[in-house]
Amino acid sequence: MTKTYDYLFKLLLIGDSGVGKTSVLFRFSEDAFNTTFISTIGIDFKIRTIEMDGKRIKLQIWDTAGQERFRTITTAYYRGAMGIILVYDVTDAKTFENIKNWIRNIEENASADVEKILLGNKCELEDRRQVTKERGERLAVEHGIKFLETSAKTGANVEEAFLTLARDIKTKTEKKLEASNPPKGGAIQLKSVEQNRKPSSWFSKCSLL
Amino acid sequence: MEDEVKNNRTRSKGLYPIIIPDICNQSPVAYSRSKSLSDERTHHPPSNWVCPNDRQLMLRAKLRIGWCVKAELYEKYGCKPKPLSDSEQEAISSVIKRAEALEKQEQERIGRLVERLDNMKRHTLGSGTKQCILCGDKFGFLGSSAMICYDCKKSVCTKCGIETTSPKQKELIWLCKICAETREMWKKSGAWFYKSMPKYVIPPKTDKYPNNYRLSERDPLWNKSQAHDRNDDDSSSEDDWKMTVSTPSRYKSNIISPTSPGSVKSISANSNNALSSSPKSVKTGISETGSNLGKSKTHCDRTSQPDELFETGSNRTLSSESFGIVPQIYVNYETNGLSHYEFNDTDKVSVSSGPTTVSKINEDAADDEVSPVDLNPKTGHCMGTITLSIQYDPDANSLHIFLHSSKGLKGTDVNGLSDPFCKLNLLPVGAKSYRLRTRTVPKTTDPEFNETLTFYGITDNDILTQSLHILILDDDKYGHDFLGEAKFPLNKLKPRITRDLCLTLEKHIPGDLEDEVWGEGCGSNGQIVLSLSYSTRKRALIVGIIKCINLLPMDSNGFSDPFVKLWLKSSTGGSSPKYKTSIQWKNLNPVYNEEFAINTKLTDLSQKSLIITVWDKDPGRSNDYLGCLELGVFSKGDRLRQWLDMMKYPDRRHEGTHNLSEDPIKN
Repeated sequence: MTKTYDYLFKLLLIGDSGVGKTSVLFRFSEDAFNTTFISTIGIDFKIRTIEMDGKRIKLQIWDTAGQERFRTITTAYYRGAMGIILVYDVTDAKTFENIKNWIRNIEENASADVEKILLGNKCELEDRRQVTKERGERLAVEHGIKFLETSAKTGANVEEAFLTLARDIKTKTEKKLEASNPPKGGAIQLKSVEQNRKPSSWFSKCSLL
Repeated sequence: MEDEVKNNRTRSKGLYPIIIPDICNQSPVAYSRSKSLSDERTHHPPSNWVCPNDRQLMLRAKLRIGWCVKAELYEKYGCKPKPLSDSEQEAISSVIKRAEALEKQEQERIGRLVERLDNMKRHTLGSGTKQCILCGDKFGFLGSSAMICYDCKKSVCTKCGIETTSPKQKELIWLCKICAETREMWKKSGAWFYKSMPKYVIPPKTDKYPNNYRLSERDPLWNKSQAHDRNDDDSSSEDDWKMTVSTPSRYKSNIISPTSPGSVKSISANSNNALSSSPKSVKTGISETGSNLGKSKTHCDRTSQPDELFETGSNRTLSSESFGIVPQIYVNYETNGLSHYEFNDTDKVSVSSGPTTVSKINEDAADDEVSPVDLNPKTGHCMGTITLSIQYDPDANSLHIFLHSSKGLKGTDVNGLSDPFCKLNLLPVGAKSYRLRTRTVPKTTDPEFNETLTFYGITDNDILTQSLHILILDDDKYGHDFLGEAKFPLNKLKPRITRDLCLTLEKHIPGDLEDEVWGEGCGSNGQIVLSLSYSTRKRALIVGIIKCINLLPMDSNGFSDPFVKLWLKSSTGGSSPKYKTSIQWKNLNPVYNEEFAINTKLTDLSQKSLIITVWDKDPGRSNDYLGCLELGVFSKGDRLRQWLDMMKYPDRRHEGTHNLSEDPIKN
């Protein structure tokens, strides 16, 4: 049975090809892991509904292809994202260096309010590690974002990563509301609108206020 | 060649191009790169990004082709990017379809939030100065104490207000429930992020009549208590859920929220066009990928429209076996689609005819767009279904249509029932068009028509070009409300073979030749625009006669001299005094803007009906009758709705436009 939700958060996974974005998402959405590497075609998304502070939050998590050839498609999805998960591979220094570029990409394409989190994936492969945890932390501090080392294979920190991001976004909703105070929902003002409104006919599609 | 390019670019390391997605979207293929995966991983970006010089930028601005420098790169070195393959395009567009379906669900959810807030606003009773804005309680010594709402600055009593901490200033503030709900909506809809309300669709209201209207319980206090009840439940989840079930029509509007990446759709569309190679069929693309992965699915034939929503009750939703590649969509569709079918109640499809024809039909169904199985997921569980059999007899040049029954129609009267009948027509209208209708089946939403109608003089050519349209209407003398429409292209018929169908009803969209085609044009007797409101202060029903439209001309000068007469009739006998408007001489579209207060108790209104008659004044002779209208709980459709709104929300003005009927009302 479908149950409704209170919030819909749109998240986006980005990072170089092969760092394990799809695997992280697969771990989070299905709690499973697949060792075969299948490159994501363009874009994909998964859904998982979580509960936080008694509210049901539906997470629509967009998984993007890391490959350059899909860049134009994936870039189009930056703007709608409320949270972005940057992923690099701790066993591949190149992917870590590229995080800077990805952050730049975010700055250019995503909404200014977007929440970010940095993940160093494949942390179970200690023997092949090229990027230390400290380097990851330093980069995260530099950009003022949170950092976690995850492993899609073992499931370490994957849940935490998504929940942290969701919580950050939820906290932001409250802050934003206070700051901009947009809902000028004065009943008086709306009354006049009400009065002018004709009872919509049976077949009217929708009435936008 | 490409390496050379890269070396050239290494000098401008670290610079980024300005990518404006919308512009780049126009031809994504042009920008996609022909790199293998391993290549991708070893030589990654920085060197590929350059900033064009000022002159280039200026020229580009004039050209309006976007800012991506790579376009130029390709032109210069003549290396053609590898376009997205068919299966890739297919995969992407199916993801987009899924996203759109989700978006639709989201818009409906937001629509419900908006509607809920609207309802709350309609319940407000007070002025917000000396009275509580919500419940209208007077403030003062004995009354409740006034709090000022932080957002709207209106006074609110402690019962209707919510004390909350402002997260920013860390202080306690009061909010009236409307503002609190508005804030809540701002959060829940994502408006906080998009900085404005995202697109939404209001769920249709009509369906709530049967559940929500219990007339006998109504009294002036009802309004107030109802307002409280609704305000008390903090989360709308439960409420919404109920509505989801009863909301029948999922609007098929393709509204895409401004922030959603809907623009990508155009990408895939464009890339489709850009490719000269003939695109493979959906099926082949899928089976290919499927077999590659060793998990090809049996349900591939159903995949052409994966635009339904897939959600199950569990926290883990969607794509249980998928792994970021093509077949996932179909997996979902398969597992979750089933519940939809059950819900739709349309499993009884094409079974009743003989064994030989059955196989035929199934064959057809496989490639038919219109076959029942395909139709349902597209239209949702909205307007109901109709089962019928069609047979074309080329020898007698006739088309026999046996209408069995219809299920799940919309209710139009106060009991949630309708008086449905079918009108049949072959469209587009040819030289020998005529429409047929069934008898009316009274007081039901699941009518059994069991009636055979026959179109005569049908030729093979007609069969090829025309389609059968079935309109289900609600029989009412003030004009027929549309309950749904089903279409069936006749070219799917085989001569002499009876085809059993179960069609899903869709919304009827009136065409230009509505009157000609269906004979259901808007009121030939003209229409009247009037407002109703019950004033609790005056204890009277205020009827505002605003204007009439397109009245019949009765005088020899081609006009009428219309005036409107109205009174309240009680079902127990007896009636109020009669009221008359002024006479508008020589006018077929008279504007009155006159109001009449008829004293009555609000609770009595469920036993009464308002009779409105329109007359042409003929001095010295008896007046000509132009039309009439009756409003009350025994009315249907829009008329019923206006009447109920008036009773449900007193002290509000409810305006409506209604057709006039020519049948005189007996006093």
